[in-house]
Amino acid sequence: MRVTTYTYPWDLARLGVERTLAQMAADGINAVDLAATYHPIDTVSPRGGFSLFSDARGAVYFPARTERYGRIKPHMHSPEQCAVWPEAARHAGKFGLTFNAWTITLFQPWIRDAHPDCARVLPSGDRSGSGVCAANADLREYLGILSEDVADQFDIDLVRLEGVISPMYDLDWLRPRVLVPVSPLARTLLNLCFCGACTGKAAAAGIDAERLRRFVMEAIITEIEEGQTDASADRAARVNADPELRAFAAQYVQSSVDLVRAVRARLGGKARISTNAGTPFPQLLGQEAEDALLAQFVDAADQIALHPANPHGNRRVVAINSGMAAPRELSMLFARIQAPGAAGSAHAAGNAAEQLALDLQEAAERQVDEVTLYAYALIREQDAADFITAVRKAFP
Amino acid sequence: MTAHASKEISGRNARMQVTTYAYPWDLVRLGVERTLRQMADDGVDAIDLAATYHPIDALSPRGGVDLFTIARGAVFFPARTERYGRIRPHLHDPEICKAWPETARLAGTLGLQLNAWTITLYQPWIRDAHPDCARVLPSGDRSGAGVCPANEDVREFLVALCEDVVDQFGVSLVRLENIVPIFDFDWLRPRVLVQIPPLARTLLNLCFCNSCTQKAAAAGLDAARLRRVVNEAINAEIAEGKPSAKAAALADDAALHLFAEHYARSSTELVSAIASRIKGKARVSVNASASYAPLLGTAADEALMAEFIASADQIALHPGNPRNKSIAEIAARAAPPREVSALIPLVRAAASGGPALEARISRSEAMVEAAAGMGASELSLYNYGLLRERDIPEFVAWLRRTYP
Repeated sequence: MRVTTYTYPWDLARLGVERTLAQMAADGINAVDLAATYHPIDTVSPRGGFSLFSDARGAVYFPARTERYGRIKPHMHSPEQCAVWPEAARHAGKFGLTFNAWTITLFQPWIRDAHPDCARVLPSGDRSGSGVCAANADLREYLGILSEDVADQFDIDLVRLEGVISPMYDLDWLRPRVLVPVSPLARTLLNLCFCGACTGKAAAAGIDAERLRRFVMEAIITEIEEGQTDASADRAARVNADPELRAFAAQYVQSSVDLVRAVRARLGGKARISTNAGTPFPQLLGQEAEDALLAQFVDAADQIALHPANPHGNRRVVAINSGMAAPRELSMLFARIQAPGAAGSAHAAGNAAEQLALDLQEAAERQVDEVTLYAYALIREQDAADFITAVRKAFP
Repeated sequence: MTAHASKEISGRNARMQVTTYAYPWDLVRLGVERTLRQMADDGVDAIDLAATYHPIDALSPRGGVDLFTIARGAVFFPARTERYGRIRPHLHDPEICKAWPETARLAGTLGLQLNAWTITLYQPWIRDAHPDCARVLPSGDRSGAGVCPANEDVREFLVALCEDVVDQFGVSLVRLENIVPIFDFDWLRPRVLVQIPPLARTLLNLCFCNSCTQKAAAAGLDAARLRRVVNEAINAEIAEGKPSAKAAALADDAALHLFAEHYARSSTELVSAIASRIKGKARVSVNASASYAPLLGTAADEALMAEFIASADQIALHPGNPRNKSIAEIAARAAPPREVSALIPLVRAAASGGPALEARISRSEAMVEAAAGMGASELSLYNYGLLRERDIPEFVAWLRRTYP
């Protein structure tokens, strides 16, 4: 079993790049997923003394060559932080560590700030405050160039694309305040994007996006106003039966698949690609259409990353993958969260040791090839060692 | 709640005052006059209109579903910038700021009291423009979002701002929110994967910004030494995941106790400065969740809380705060006794209000019962624009039946 670990450049800079990579190798880790881009965050590292790193709107963390880019130019963090990348690339190999580019894709508020037209647009017409849309051509060009840039500069094995599709409309909200029940149907419909790129594509496909927007908003408003009632099933049936809406939803997912493909084409074999595979519209698309889209995700990448908190989705993706002519490698995220409620993650609940055992069982059942530990410097040295021991015991 | 208990409470208290928090952007979108009229019809007595606000993604179900998003916070009334010092108010869109004069013009005629809901230290735009105003953790890292109550420029700004809003709009009460810092309250997208024991949390609340360390030096304290011992204790507590011997040794460090008391008093001094500036024009409400008891002991902590409460006219309880009972008792013992208010988040959906809220909130009705039992005479409902049209009138009707 290959073990990789997510790592932040700011932690390597603070703790010492060479020293930390050496420690990772000594711990039994095989690869480092170093953040090439990142979203807003307040992280606490307990290593080398308590340390808080804070970034408000996200940034690019490697020395990107801005002259290569189009309209969206990389917003780079400080040169000191970006200097970690070349140093880590220089040292990783000598410790036997494979080197991956952990790349946050759509949750990049700095892009949304600089180019508001790239933002996702809710059915209400409101722009997301943080997230950009995979259908936007400038965004797609930017991510393709960025992936090529990092692969050209550094000897990376894998570009780990995180969040090429948002599984829920409010995933990237900061300080969210939603006090009313948003039913599953309303949540599904709120995931739809009506940005200029999405409505333009719809028009090109003969879809009346404005009608859909009105139709969708009526359903959302009614669902929120009335809550989930007996009428919800009829409403969901009406919504799901609209072929134009289904096509519009499929087009949205297709945009994320196309983004992965665009990155892959740009990389031209210089590095492998990992991505999540999922859609936020299971009921709307229907299983057959959703499976077809999931198959495209799988086909577009070299590796599929699973999340232990999504066993149902994992089973489907694994089944689709196993039916491929050349099944892709499978990876699974492990978040070692010791402080329930402190990480803003539903996955944080429960006892950490029990959760680890359950997650390892899920990994074994899905026959994953790789486990990815989140995040090296955010946990104590002993926690990382305990994790590796548990993995080696589960996968001798 | 039993009818007997309800009667007993209503016999102790005058008619329960009901206020509602509201956002200017919701008033503008929904129509100021129409919305204020609806509030009055719903049985609300006062509106707590945001004068300043922090980063937020807020979903309103009224008038169609609407998302309002702001990344770094702002000032939401037409502040008169010439009145301010180094920190000039970062005003939001004039269209949204217009909600304030219109509300002030109409509220009284509709029988609504107008309060200025004022976010104090959680103002990332100040931190961005003036990094020296940021709180500084014992580790030396600046907060990404919060500013320090000991900073003179922050104080000058907040005093000027409160006076400005009171002078312009004749507000009855300035509701100062979170003027006592908690180290991670204002973090965005927090990632804390390790246990932080209670004493470590208390120590992390301490600030080592220039203002705080200079004040310490003026009091003859060695801030560098204190920072070192505090960091050693924090790191030991986190490494062991439980109280450590290093931390226990801090119980006898008189200089550290003094440093913590200075910091706690920074918030009290700021409230006093604001109250003094608007004395006779508007009352002042405060809330506080931070506790220094793990470091100072309960008696010293309560003495600090008593000073804090005495600096204001009203203390607001926060749902789930384990100190609420003690806070209410201190308020009752003050001379004169201070009014007790309680924030009541009307969360009608599970798991959607942010982790801090989720962890603390049970049923709103139970929160009211608890607050009334502690002598609260005012309930502040959070939040008008974030709730469906029926939620507020239904809740107020229940309140009026239960607490006639």
